[in-house]
Amino acid sequence: MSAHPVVVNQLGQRPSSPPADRLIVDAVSKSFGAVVALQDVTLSVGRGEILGLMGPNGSGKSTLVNVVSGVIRPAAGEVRLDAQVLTGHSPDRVARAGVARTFQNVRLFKGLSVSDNVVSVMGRRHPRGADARALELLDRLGIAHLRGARAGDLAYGLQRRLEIARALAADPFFLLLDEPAAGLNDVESADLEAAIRRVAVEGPTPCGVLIIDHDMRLMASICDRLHVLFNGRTIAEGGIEEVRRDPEVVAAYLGRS
Amino acid sequence: MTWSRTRLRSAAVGWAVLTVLLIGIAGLAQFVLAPSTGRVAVQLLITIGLVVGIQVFVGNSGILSFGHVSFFAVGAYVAGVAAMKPSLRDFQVTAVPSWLADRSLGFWPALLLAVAVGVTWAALTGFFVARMKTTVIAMATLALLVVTFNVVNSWESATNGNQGLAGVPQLTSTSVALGVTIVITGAAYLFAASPTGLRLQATREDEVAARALGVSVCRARFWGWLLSGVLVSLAGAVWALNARAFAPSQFSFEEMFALLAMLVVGGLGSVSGAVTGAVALTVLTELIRTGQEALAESGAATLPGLIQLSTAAIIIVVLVVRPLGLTNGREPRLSLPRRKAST
Repeated sequence: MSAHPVVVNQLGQRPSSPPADRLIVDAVSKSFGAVVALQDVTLSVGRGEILGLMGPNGSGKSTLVNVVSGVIRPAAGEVRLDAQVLTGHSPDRVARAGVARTFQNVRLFKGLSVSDNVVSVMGRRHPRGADARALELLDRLGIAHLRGARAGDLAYGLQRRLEIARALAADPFFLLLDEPAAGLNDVESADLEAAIRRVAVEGPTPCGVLIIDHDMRLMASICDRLHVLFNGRTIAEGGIEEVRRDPEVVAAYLGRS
Repeated sequence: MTWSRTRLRSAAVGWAVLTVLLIGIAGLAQFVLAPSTGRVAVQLLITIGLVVGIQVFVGNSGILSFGHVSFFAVGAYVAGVAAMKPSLRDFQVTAVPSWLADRSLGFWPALLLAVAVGVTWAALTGFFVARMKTTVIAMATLALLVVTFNVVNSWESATNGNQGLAGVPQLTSTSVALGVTIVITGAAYLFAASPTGLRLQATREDEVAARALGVSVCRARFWGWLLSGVLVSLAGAVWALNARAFAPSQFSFEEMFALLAMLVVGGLGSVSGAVTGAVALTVLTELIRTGQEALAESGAATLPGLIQLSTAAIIIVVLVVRPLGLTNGREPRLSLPRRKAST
């Protein structure tokens, strides 16, 4: 971390900025009218780490992703990349600073080819060229053979993979995955899990991953740590077993519904 | 900035094929058909240039623009006034910069001047357009159209008001019109294959996702608008130097609508679509006009408004049958021997 405050204008100048080590959400609160979506939520993810953000529907998970990615401005608190403040910047600048995301309802560039989806968001020059880089990313997610197809024509599970490949093409330090396994069958979701782990932790430049889901089984198998929200508040955080046994988590998941 | 070689290669192939077709069209009209249709060939080539110029912004951004008629007007008036003989100019237009007052520019200098003014105007308007919300832009371009028409129609010292300009020298030859149109289509293909063009297409497909992945919507739209404006100014200048005389009615909603109709019919999403639409509707219009003249000679009713009516009917049919236009919104796949990917 630099000792000097980061000049705001430098945000988004990826190639020259040093890689960030930690994505920090610091005491973020947000309400929509009378509904409290997030209340004083603090968490952080390191590079090479997979943090699971859990909670029942309406607990504030998606709001948190939107706050981190700059879509929603929080009422209080801030999001930082190391010492660099992201809050208050537009989503595209946040992305160029090194935070890429996927969407709960897949949002591909449907009319473009699979390969163009990936090429379009590349921010910097790649030594071996954009096409080679795209092929490499698509290959890592097992969809290289589909590179010429129209993205909107892919099967749903493959669209989810393409979305992750596209997010990686932006060269992120941190990846936000909003329900990456939603709508997938068991086999597909196991495949995707493996792909996410391969991509995030084992890649040449590992990034940190924040995964949102409410499926405890999936999350337990892929995440290093868990963070549980309920009604916009943090009710538990820590290792998998620790969180699983937490009485408040058990109550939130079983007690109410 | 990352250029994709695959995209560049297919753009080059598309451009090459289109160039051959354009040469064919020009040659056919110039040498095979009657000399009178030579003028039709020039007119068609310029129309293709205008529609392709508009496509650069409208097609890649997915945002309809009525404002491009403004660049058409800027190109036409600047080139027209600059190329006119001072003796003819003086009693029509008085607000001429002093260095130009006692001379007239040749074809290329006039074109250059028109493009320079077009760049400035496109940059100025683009600065604002790029910063607007997507839903607002179409309205803003409509305002630009209205402003343009009224300025051109009322600024008598610079445009001769509603009387229009007469005595513009006819300097555009078929080969020059062909050359300029080939350059315009080349620029359009190159832009669509460029990183900025691809980003603009990404914002067309899903603006929220594009933003979330680091695409600056503002920047992509600005460059698309700028290039588009410049190309339309260029086509407008060539058009003026072919037209001899023109009036503000040329820069009205009807004319802009006709150009957009060509784009919609051919397919917004591709350069080849813009060309297809321009050719299809120009040929149709010419056929109907010939038919009307024949009817008039035989003394039957002339059916005024038939051209507009059939254009509208064709738009409706195309939008129902092929909503993405005749080319289906994509460049046609040209099957060439492809190198196998080395894996």
